Amino acid sequence: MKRLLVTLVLVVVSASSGLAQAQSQDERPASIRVRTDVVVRWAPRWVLQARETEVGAVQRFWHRVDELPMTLRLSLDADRLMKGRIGVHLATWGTLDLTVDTEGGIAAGDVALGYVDARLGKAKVWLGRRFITWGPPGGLHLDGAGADVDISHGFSVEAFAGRPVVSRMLTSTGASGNLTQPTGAYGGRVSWVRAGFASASAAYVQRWSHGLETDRVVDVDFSARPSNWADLNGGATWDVRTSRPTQAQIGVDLVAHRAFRLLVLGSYVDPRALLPDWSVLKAFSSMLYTEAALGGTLRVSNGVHLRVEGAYRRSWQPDRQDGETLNGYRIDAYVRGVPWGGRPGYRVMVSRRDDGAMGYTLVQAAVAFETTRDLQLAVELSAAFDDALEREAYVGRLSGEYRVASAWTVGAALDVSRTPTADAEVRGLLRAVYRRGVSQ
Amino acid sequence: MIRSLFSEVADRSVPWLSSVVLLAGLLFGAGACSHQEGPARDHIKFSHGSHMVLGASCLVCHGEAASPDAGTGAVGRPLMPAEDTCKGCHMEGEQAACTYCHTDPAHPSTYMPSDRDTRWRHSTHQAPQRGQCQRCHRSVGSEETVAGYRPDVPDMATCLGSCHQQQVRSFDCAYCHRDLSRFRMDQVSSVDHGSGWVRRHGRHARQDANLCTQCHEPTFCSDCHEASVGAPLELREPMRVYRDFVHRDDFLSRHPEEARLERGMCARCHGVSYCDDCHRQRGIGGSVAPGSPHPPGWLDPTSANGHARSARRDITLCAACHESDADTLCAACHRVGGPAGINPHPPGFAAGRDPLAHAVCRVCHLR
Repeated sequence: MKRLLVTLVLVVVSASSGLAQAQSQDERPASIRVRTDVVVRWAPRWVLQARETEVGAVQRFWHRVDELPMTLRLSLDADRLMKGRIGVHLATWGTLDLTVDTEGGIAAGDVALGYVDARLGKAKVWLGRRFITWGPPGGLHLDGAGADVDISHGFSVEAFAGRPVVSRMLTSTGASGNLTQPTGAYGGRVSWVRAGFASASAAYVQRWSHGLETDRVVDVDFSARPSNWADLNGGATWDVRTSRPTQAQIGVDLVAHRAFRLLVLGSYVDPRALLPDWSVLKAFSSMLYTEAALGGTLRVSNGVHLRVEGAYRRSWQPDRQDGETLNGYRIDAYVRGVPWGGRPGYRVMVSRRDDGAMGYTLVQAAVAFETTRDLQLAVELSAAFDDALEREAYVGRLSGEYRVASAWTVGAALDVSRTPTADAEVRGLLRAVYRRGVSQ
Repeated sequence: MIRSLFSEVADRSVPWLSSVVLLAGLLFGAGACSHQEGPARDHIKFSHGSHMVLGASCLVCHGEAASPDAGTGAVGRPLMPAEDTCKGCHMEGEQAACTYCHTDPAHPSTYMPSDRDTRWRHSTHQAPQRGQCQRCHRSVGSEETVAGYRPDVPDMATCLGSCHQQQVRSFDCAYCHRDLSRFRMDQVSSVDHGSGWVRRHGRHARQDANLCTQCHEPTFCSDCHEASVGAPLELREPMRVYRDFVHRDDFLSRHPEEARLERGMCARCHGVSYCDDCHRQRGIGGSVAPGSPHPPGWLDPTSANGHARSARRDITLCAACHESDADTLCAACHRVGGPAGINPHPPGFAAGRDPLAHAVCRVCHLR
């Protein structure tokens, strides 16, 4: 740990001092972008209540609690301030439930992201809360500091240290960062990129929580474009302590002109590795999971895709004679149109999944179109049901958005749904959005 | 009402944050209301078509395009002819009047500047295109009507369709663009990631997050990848129906099936305590046993609905509710000498380990 920090400091200092006289490579102008969302949602929350009768039977029934949470979210991205050297990034939110008698709490709030970065020659340092994309599965949401240095010939080194952010749903209005757990993490990575040709990286991350080491992983990723018609990419996360892979993925993208792509993908997950070490359940046996997928995407025109993907899924328990093996599959079919030249945006998806124990079908269809220059409407329909039809969910949504001024839009949405809990339910939403970007 | 509401807030865990964010947002929003768009500007009335039928070569007006240094640059003007170039032909009679070319001669202005911010040069494109300007400037010949002119800059689909596929596939946007982050996503949608990107994007992001930041600001990632959740993305972007939001539509109603079918999906982003917190608030599972969602026979090892099979299938589903009480709930039966009498560890689990060395092990092995 100490050796790593010393090395990091030396690399940053040498890079920044040696290149102090060099101007920043980033010639782009400074820019500030702000977005504010105000969302008022009317949606019931269902609470399961259970009581034991005099004869010892348990009666269970759902109790409806009406809520009216008002959420304000503010995001700010300021880049290349002070001659291109400073960046400030912030995303934060707060929620108040306007129905004061709501059970279970009426306020929540958190800083999702907030950090400052500074460029020193070819080095960049940051301080605050941010999301680290590499390391353990799912990445790391971290309060801490880090640095990265572009060395030369496409090589770069980066490192961080800090405390992972753990969220808790302390109130009914939203989960907030929980700062009571003593946790820590640090990590480093070496990467090499030659844009358009190949890239590779290797990372090491160690994490603690509850006074225990919960992760010590090596993460390796690569991509390559050996020809004009094939892309390769893959990676694996390896648990150093158990000498077993936590997750792995490898994919081949075959490109026949721009109109057609064929994807072959293999992935592997050990769900048990996602559990923290303080949990007794981590010691319990659980199946490994792997998937082999084949998919094709036809680009019908600009922004219009037709995609079909099928996958074989297998869950198994290695080294166990009586272990169960589940064979399943996944079939997804999409048609998607991105708004383009006045054309509406739309998406139709049919997904059928079966893990060998349960089958499940999801159908989604949605279209958004401009009725006038400033008014957009969207209609969404969704149905989901399992094979036993014990759990069905249907929802229809009508949304509208009106541009009041160049930076302001207001909108509303109305949902009608049927859920496993409620035969019929109506939900509403009002929203206002302010987006503004300044570049100079 | 407001006073009681805020006093209620003050008793909660994060009152200062909610209040500050709400207040800042309202103040910011009030200031932003004053923003107004500027008046319409002067345009040059022009038609490429009417000039081309006269047989005019492109270089007659755009002679600068042949220069080795010609390009749009970061803030440079497009290769539009200067007024004197036009006057070389339009110099007599009504053509000499200002209104012949300007839509607003009282406030004359030059051409609308290009909105592009690219790094490239005309000179490097002329040889591959064999001097055929219309291979990139496709609409030039079809413009018959004389109207307020906007520069005919090729769109991205033109560039990407034939020549720059490799840059697109590798998301090497910086090959041409200096800054894409100021554009809305639908403005650069010719480089959309295709269907199923949400499932695949993690691998690319893990490898090189700088690829993502070419177009997306860091706060874009936090829209989904934030440990806490305020207003979910699908509520803030209901018009982006073409995007693959994980929690789209009625996810809450179908999340048990999604969690069961996609191994480790919830724990990957939320952590197991997130599930437990929400379930407790709704009275489902956790420490409130009567509200258990499990079917009859769950604890009976001989039942078809027994818990062993589900637990072996994906232990993270158990942890969603029982991560914090597993040492009393599960270990009560599965401990050494316990009534279950079944070793729950996977084969080879204990190899090389001292069961008394760790607190977690001692939950079962010291009783």
